[in-house]
Amino acid sequence: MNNKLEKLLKVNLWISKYLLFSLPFVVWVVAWAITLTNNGQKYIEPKTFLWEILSWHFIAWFVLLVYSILSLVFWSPFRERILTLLTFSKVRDERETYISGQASKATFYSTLAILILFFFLSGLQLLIYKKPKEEAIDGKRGTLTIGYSFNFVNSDAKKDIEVFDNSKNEKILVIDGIPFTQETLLLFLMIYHISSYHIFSRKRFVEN
Amino acid sequence: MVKVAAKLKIKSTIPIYRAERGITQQELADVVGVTRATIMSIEKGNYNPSLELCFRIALFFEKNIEEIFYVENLMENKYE
Repeated sequence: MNNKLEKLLKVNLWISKYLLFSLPFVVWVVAWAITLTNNGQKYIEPKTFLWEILSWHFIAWFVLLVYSILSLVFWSPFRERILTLLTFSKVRDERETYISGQASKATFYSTLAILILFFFLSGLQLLIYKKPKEEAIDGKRGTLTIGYSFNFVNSDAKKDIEVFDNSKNEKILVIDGIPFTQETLLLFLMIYHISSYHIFSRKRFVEN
Repeated sequence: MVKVAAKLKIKSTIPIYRAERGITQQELADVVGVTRATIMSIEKGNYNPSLELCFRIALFFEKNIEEIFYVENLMENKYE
Protein backbone atom coordinates (compact mmCIF):
# COMPACT_ATOMS: atom_id res chain seq x y z
CA MET A 1 0.00 0.00 0.00
CA ASN A 2 1.46 3.38 -0.96
CA ASN A 3 1.82 6.36 1.40
CA LYS A 4 -1.35 8.11 0.28
CA LEU A 5 -3.46 5.03 0.90
CA GLU A 6 -1.81 4.49 4.27
CA LYS A 7 -2.69 8.08 5.23
CA LEU A 8 -6.25 7.56 4.04
CA LEU A 9 -6.43 4.36 6.08
CA LYS A 10 -5.29 6.31 9.16
CA VAL A 11 -7.94 8.97 8.50
CA ASN A 12 -10.57 6.26 8.15
CA LEU A 13 -9.47 4.68 11.43
CA TRP A 14 -9.71 8.07 13.14
CA ILE A 15 -13.20 8.52 11.69
CA SER A 16 -14.17 5.11 13.09
CA LYS A 17 -12.90 6.11 16.53
CA TYR A 18 -14.80 9.39 16.28
CA LEU A 19 -18.00 7.51 15.30
CA LEU A 20 -17.64 5.25 18.31
CA PHE A 21 -16.69 7.83 20.95
CA SER A 22 -19.20 10.47 19.83
CA LEU A 23 -22.05 7.96 19.90
CA PRO A 24 -23.28 9.20 23.34
CA PHE A 25 -23.93 12.66 21.83
CA VAL A 26 -25.94 11.07 19.02
CA VAL A 27 -27.96 9.05 21.53
CA TRP A 28 -28.44 12.26 23.54
CA VAL A 29 -29.87 14.25 20.61
CA VAL A 30 -32.06 11.34 19.50
CA ALA A 31 -33.42 10.92 23.03
CA TRP A 32 -34.00 14.66 23.23
CA ALA A 33 -35.86 14.60 19.90
CA ILE A 34 -38.04 11.73 21.15
CA THR A 35 -39.06 13.75 24.23
CA LEU A 36 -40.07 16.64 21.93
CA THR A 37 -42.61 14.55 20.03
CA ASN A 38 -45.30 14.58 22.66
CA ASN A 39 -47.76 11.77 21.90
CA GLY A 40 -47.67 12.46 18.19
CA GLN A 41 -48.48 16.15 18.63
CA LYS A 42 -46.67 18.84 16.70
CA TYR A 43 -42.94 18.79 17.16
CA ILE A 44 -41.49 22.09 18.39
CA GLU A 45 -37.78 22.46 17.85
CA PRO A 46 -35.99 24.13 20.77
CA LYS A 47 -34.15 27.33 19.84
CA THR A 48 -31.13 26.68 21.99
CA PHE A 49 -27.46 26.74 21.08
CA LEU A 50 -26.94 23.23 22.50
CA TRP A 51 -29.71 21.83 20.30
CA GLU A 52 -28.16 23.48 17.21
CA ILE A 53 -24.72 22.06 18.01
CA LEU A 54 -26.04 18.57 18.70
CA SER A 55 -28.18 18.58 15.56
CA TRP A 56 -25.29 19.64 13.30
CA HIS A 57 -23.10 17.09 15.00
CA PHE A 58 -25.71 14.43 14.32
CA ILE A 59 -25.78 15.32 10.61
CA ALA A 60 -21.96 15.17 10.39
CA TRP A 61 -21.90 11.89 12.32
CA PHE A 62 -24.48 10.35 10.01
CA VAL A 63 -22.60 11.41 6.85
CA LEU A 64 -19.37 9.93 8.26
CA LEU A 65 -21.25 6.75 9.18
CA VAL A 66 -22.42 6.32 5.58
CA TYR A 67 -18.87 7.00 4.34
CA SER A 68 -17.45 4.42 6.78
CA ILE A 69 -19.97 1.75 5.84
CA LEU A 70 -19.22 2.28 2.13
CA SER A 71 -15.49 2.08 2.87
CA LEU A 72 -16.08 -1.18 4.72
CA VAL A 73 -17.77 -2.63 1.67
CA PHE A 74 -15.37 -1.39 -1.00
CA TRP A 75 -11.94 -1.10 0.65
CA SER A 76 -10.44 -4.34 1.91
CA PRO A 77 -7.51 -3.01 4.09
CA PHE A 78 -9.95 -0.86 6.07
CA ARG A 79 -12.46 -3.70 6.23
CA GLU A 80 -9.85 -6.09 7.62
CA ARG A 81 -8.63 -3.64 10.26
CA ILE A 82 -12.08 -2.67 11.50
CA LEU A 83 -13.80 -6.04 11.33
CA THR A 84 -10.85 -7.74 13.05
CA LEU A 85 -11.45 -5.38 15.97
CA LEU A 86 -15.24 -5.63 15.88
CA THR A 87 -15.32 -9.42 15.74
CA PHE A 88 -12.49 -9.92 18.26
CA SER A 89 -10.69 -12.21 15.83
CA LYS A 90 -6.92 -12.40 16.08
CA VAL A 91 -4.42 -14.22 13.91
CA ARG A 92 -0.92 -14.07 15.36
CA ASP A 93 0.87 -16.94 13.66
CA GLU A 94 0.53 -19.74 11.12
CA ARG A 95 -1.35 -22.07 13.47
CA GLU A 96 -3.95 -19.40 14.20
CA THR A 97 -4.17 -18.67 10.46
CA TYR A 98 -4.85 -22.37 9.92
CA ILE A 99 -7.48 -22.44 12.68
CA SER A 100 -9.04 -19.23 11.37
CA GLY A 101 -9.23 -20.76 7.89
CA GLN A 102 -10.91 -23.88 9.22
CA ALA A 103 -13.36 -21.79 11.28
CA SER A 104 -14.11 -19.52 8.30
CA LYS A 105 -14.88 -22.55 6.15
CA ALA A 106 -17.16 -24.03 8.80
CA THR A 107 -18.85 -20.63 9.29
CA PHE A 108 -19.32 -20.21 5.54
CA TYR A 109 -21.07 -23.56 5.25
CA SER A 110 -23.20 -23.12 8.35
CA THR A 111 -24.27 -19.59 7.35
CA LEU A 112 -25.05 -20.80 3.85
CA ALA A 113 -27.23 -23.56 5.36
CA ILE A 114 -29.09 -20.93 7.43
CA LEU A 115 -29.54 -18.76 4.31
CA ILE A 116 -30.96 -21.73 2.40
CA LEU A 117 -33.39 -22.34 5.27
CA PHE A 118 -34.42 -18.67 5.31
CA PHE A 119 -34.82 -18.65 1.54
CA PHE A 120 -37.06 -21.69 1.77
CA LEU A 121 -39.10 -20.28 4.67
CA SER A 122 -39.40 -16.79 3.16
CA GLY A 123 -41.47 -18.00 0.22
CA LEU A 124 -43.27 -20.88 1.90
CA GLN A 125 -47.04 -20.72 2.12
CA LEU A 126 -48.56 -23.50 4.16
CA LEU A 127 -52.25 -23.52 5.02
CA ILE A 128 -54.02 -26.14 7.09
CA TYR A 129 -57.69 -25.36 7.58
CA LYS A 130 -61.24 -26.67 7.66
CA LYS A 131 -63.63 -25.56 4.97
CA PRO A 132 -67.13 -24.41 5.94
CA LYS A 133 -69.65 -27.28 6.27
CA GLU A 134 -71.47 -26.26 3.08
CA GLU A 135 -68.23 -26.64 1.05
CA ALA A 136 -67.33 -30.11 2.43
CA ILE A 137 -66.49 -32.78 -0.15
CA ASP A 138 -67.76 -36.25 0.79
CA GLY A 139 -68.16 -34.93 4.32
CA LYS A 140 -64.48 -34.05 4.56
CA ARG A 141 -63.56 -30.47 5.47
CA GLY A 142 -59.85 -30.70 6.33
CA THR A 143 -57.64 -29.06 3.68
CA LEU A 144 -53.91 -28.72 3.23
CA THR A 145 -52.44 -26.18 0.81
CA ILE A 146 -48.74 -25.88 0.09
CA GLY A 147 -47.34 -23.09 -2.06
CA TYR A 148 -44.20 -21.14 -2.73
CA SER A 149 -44.09 -17.48 -3.66
CA PHE A 150 -41.00 -15.87 -5.14
CA ASN A 151 -40.89 -12.18 -6.07
CA PHE A 152 -37.99 -9.98 -7.09
CA VAL A 153 -39.53 -6.88 -5.50
CA ASN A 154 -42.02 -6.28 -2.71
CA SER A 155 -45.50 -6.20 -4.18
CA ASP A 156 -49.04 -7.26 -3.37
CA ALA A 157 -48.07 -10.87 -3.92
CA LYS A 158 -49.57 -11.90 -0.60
CA LYS A 159 -53.08 -11.60 -2.03
CA ASP A 160 -53.78 -15.32 -1.68
CA ILE A 161 -53.29 -15.21 2.07
CA GLU A 162 -55.41 -12.06 2.40
CA VAL A 163 -58.24 -13.75 0.46
CA PHE A 164 -57.88 -16.75 2.74
CA ASP A 165 -57.93 -14.54 5.85
CA ASN A 166 -61.22 -13.03 4.77
CA SER A 167 -62.83 -16.39 4.04
CA LYS A 168 -65.04 -18.42 6.36
CA ASN A 169 -62.43 -21.20 6.61
CA GLU A 170 -61.57 -22.44 10.07
CA LYS A 171 -57.81 -21.86 10.36
CA ILE A 172 -55.65 -24.51 12.00
CA LEU A 173 -52.15 -23.56 10.82
CA VAL A 174 -51.15 -20.67 8.57
CA ILE A 175 -47.50 -20.18 7.60
CA ASP A 176 -46.76 -17.35 5.19
CA GLY A 177 -43.07 -16.60 4.89
CA ILE A 178 -40.87 -15.51 7.78
CA PRO A 179 -42.70 -13.35 10.32
CA PHE A 180 -39.58 -11.31 11.23
CA THR A 181 -38.68 -7.99 9.67
CA GLN A 182 -35.74 -7.56 7.29
CA GLU A 183 -33.80 -5.70 10.01
CA THR A 184 -34.29 -8.50 12.54
CA LEU A 185 -33.24 -11.14 10.04
CA LEU A 186 -30.10 -9.25 8.98
CA LEU A 187 -29.16 -8.57 12.61
CA PHE A 188 -29.70 -12.24 13.43
CA LEU A 189 -27.52 -13.27 10.47
CA MET A 190 -24.71 -10.92 11.54
CA ILE A 191 -24.78 -12.18 15.12
CA TYR A 192 -25.00 -15.79 13.93
CA HIS A 193 -22.09 -15.27 11.52
CA ILE A 194 -19.79 -13.80 14.18
CA SER A 195 -20.76 -16.25 16.91
CA SER A 196 -20.45 -19.32 14.68
CA TYR A 197 -16.95 -18.16 13.64
CA HIS A 198 -15.96 -17.88 17.31
CA ILE A 199 -17.53 -21.20 18.28
CA PHE A 200 -15.79 -23.03 15.43
CA SER A 201 -12.47 -21.25 16.22
CA ARG A 202 -12.74 -22.23 19.87
CA LYS A 203 -13.45 -25.83 18.86
CA ARG A 204 -10.38 -25.93 16.58
CA PHE A 205 -8.21 -24.27 19.24
CA VAL A 206 -9.11 -27.05 21.65
CA GLU A 207 -8.36 -29.70 19.00
CA ASN A 208 -4.99 -28.14 18.06
CA MET B 1 1.14 -48.18 -7.01
CA VAL B 2 2.38 -47.00 -3.62
CA LYS B 3 -0.17 -45.32 -1.39
CA VAL B 4 0.62 -43.05 1.54
CA ALA B 5 -1.59 -42.45 4.59
CA ALA B 6 -3.80 -39.38 4.22
CA LYS B 7 -2.48 -37.76 7.37
CA LEU B 8 0.91 -38.20 8.97
CA LYS B 9 1.38 -37.42 12.63
CA ILE B 10 4.63 -35.51 12.84
CA LYS B 11 6.48 -35.79 16.13
CA SER B 12 9.34 -33.64 17.32
CA THR B 13 12.38 -33.67 19.56
CA ILE B 14 11.93 -29.99 20.40
CA PRO B 15 11.49 -30.61 24.18
CA ILE B 16 14.85 -32.45 24.26
CA TYR B 17 16.77 -29.72 22.42
CA ARG B 18 14.95 -27.06 24.39
CA ALA B 19 15.99 -28.71 27.64
CA GLU B 20 19.59 -28.92 26.36
CA ARG B 21 19.59 -25.19 25.71
CA GLY B 22 17.62 -24.41 28.87
CA ILE B 23 15.01 -22.28 27.14
CA THR B 24 11.27 -22.09 27.70
CA GLN B 25 8.51 -22.60 25.14
CA GLN B 26 7.85 -18.86 25.22
CA GLU B 27 11.49 -18.03 24.47
CA LEU B 28 11.56 -20.43 21.53
CA ALA B 29 8.23 -19.06 20.32
CA ASP B 30 9.57 -15.48 20.42
CA VAL B 31 12.68 -16.45 18.45
CA VAL B 32 10.83 -18.28 15.66
CA GLY B 33 7.94 -15.81 15.58
CA VAL B 34 4.95 -17.83 16.77
CA THR B 35 2.87 -18.07 19.94
CA ARG B 36 3.67 -20.32 22.89
CA ALA B 37 0.46 -22.27 22.16
CA THR B 38 1.85 -23.18 18.74
CA ILE B 39 5.10 -24.54 20.19
CA MET B 40 3.06 -26.48 22.75
CA SER B 41 0.83 -27.95 19.99
CA ILE B 42 3.88 -28.95 17.90
CA GLU B 43 5.52 -30.62 20.90
CA LYS B 44 2.34 -32.56 21.64
CA GLY B 45 2.05 -33.56 17.98
CA ASN B 46 -1.35 -31.89 17.63
CA TYR B 47 -0.26 -29.43 14.95
CA ASN B 48 1.87 -30.07 11.87
CA PRO B 49 4.01 -26.95 11.34
CA SER B 50 4.69 -25.42 7.94
CA LEU B 51 7.94 -26.26 6.19
CA GLU B 52 9.15 -22.69 6.80
CA LEU B 53 8.55 -22.97 10.56
CA CYS B 54 10.30 -26.37 10.61
CA PHE B 55 13.34 -24.75 8.98
CA ARG B 56 13.25 -21.83 11.42
CA ILE B 57 13.21 -24.17 14.41
CA ALA B 58 15.94 -26.33 12.86
CA LEU B 59 18.06 -23.23 12.18
CA PHE B 60 17.65 -22.08 15.76
CA PHE B 61 18.82 -25.42 17.15
CA GLU B 62 21.49 -25.71 14.42
CA LYS B 63 20.24 -29.16 13.40
CA ASN B 64 18.86 -30.80 10.29
CA ILE B 65 15.09 -30.89 9.98
CA GLU B 66 15.06 -34.70 10.24
CA GLU B 67 16.76 -34.50 13.63
CA ILE B 68 13.91 -32.40 14.99
CA PHE B 69 10.86 -33.60 13.09
CA TYR B 70 10.04 -37.21 12.30
CA VAL B 71 7.13 -39.54 11.69
CA GLU B 72 6.98 -42.45 14.08
CA ASN B 73 6.94 -45.80 12.23
CA LEU B 74 7.10 -43.98 8.91
CA MET B 75 6.99 -47.12 6.79
CA GLU B 76 3.69 -48.19 8.34
CA ASN B 77 2.11 -45.24 6.54
CA LYS B 78 3.11 -46.63 3.16
CA TYR B 79 0.93 -49.21 1.42
CA GLU B 80 1.61 -51.20 -1.74
